[in-house]
Amino acid sequence: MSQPQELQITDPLEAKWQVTERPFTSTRPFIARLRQMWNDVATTWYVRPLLQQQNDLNRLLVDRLQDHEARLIAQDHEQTDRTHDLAELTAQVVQLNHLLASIDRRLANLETRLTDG
Amino acid sequence: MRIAYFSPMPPARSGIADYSRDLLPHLAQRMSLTLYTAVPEQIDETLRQQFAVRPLAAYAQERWQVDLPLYQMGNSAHHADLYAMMRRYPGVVVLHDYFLHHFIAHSTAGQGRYDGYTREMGYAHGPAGIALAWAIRAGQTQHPLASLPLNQRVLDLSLGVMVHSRTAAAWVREVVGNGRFVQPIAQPIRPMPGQSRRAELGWPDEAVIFACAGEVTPPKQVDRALRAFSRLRQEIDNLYFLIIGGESPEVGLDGLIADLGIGDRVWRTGFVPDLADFNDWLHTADVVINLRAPTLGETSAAALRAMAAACPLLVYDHGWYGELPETAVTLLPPLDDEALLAAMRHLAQSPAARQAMGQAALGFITGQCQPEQVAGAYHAFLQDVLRALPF
Repeated sequence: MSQPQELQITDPLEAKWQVTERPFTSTRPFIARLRQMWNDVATTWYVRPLLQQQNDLNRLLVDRLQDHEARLIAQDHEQTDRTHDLAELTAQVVQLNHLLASIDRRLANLETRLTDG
Repeated sequence: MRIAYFSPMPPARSGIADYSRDLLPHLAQRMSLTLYTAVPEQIDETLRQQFAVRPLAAYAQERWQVDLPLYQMGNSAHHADLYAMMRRYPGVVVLHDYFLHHFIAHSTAGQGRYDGYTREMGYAHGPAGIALAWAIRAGQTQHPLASLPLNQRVLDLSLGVMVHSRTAAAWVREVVGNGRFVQPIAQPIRPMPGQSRRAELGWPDEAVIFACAGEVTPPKQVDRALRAFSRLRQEIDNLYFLIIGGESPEVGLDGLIADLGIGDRVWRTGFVPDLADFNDWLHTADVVINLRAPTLGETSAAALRAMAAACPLLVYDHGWYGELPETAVTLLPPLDDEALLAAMRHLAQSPAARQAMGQAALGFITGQCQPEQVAGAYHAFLQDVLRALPF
């Protein structure tokens, strides 16, 4: 038996960032042809540059978001490591306090013996 | 050694609260304990009389007086307060459930805090985890409660981890590496005397009684046990079946028992709230069948109680179950109905085999699962963690 497997999933941002052209449609052939002619002109000269501009921005935003996510995850791990280290240091301080108290007691005993002797 | 002890406490209806109640007196023989809980006045009065009980809020100041904090962590809402403390002041963790996904999902997304859930998924599984958390939030899929453990933060924070099986210990080591203390610790259980209730059921003295014990849920595979029982009854007449414990609604045993035509040979106790009664029912059985598939690294208190009642046990050979001694249990290939049937046939026909297995099961419990032994293992582990602190 082994550890449960890691998940495989596509980021919805990756699936949806790109805006694409939609063809004009109509049930009437003449209207469809007319729309297609207008579409050729409008798409070539107006819509495609806008789409490109939007897609460039979307890609940039997705990249930035993914970068932020990666940094947040990394910072979360670093913070967790620091919290673990702090707990270890707290336990060490407590043990050192025990040691210090023990040394104090032994020193006090020795001083008493020296004074008495 | 001074230990700050964090756990659900009785009267909370939690198996881990019961575990702490049973173990604490034995731990107290070996270490000084202070119990920390959200509202000290609400915990069981006996515990309040036996132990120093302090509010969680006091721990920040008092932690300098404590050698180590010890957290009893499980997969239920009872652990919300101590989980928050563990995140701030980590220590040694007893991980009762390897999977914490249900607890994390409940305490974050379940409270409308999706950002908390996304954070945990991102922490444990990176960007893919965040993408999955968003898909869950959008209702496109369910929480993968049984496939992603969501325990990495707990493991990363811990100064040492105790678990209840070698299987779970191996899984933990895969996450934290070999640089941290990880130790399987037996579940404490003490054999209880019990009275057979065979006479109440009106079943013959010479009848062989198979039983399933514990809450009946789909992973317990009680339907497979009943089907095998039905087939075996065609060969051997004098067989009966006892279902000890409540039944979750999705199991639907009524229809199955009717379809198999075994209604006159099956008795269902329903939920048994009293441990002594539960134990009596176990003492009524000749063989206990405790199948679990899939296993998520859990141990079964019902299986241990059956062993403590000297019952031979049939289990699948995986996870913690596969770690039980072969003299005391029959290890079956998971989901192999023919192997199950053969094992049931063998035990139904051989009182000597039942007797030998039952005694071996009891020997395992008395040899390894006594609360004093478990407390000793705790003490040794905590000392190892302290000794390993770098100076």
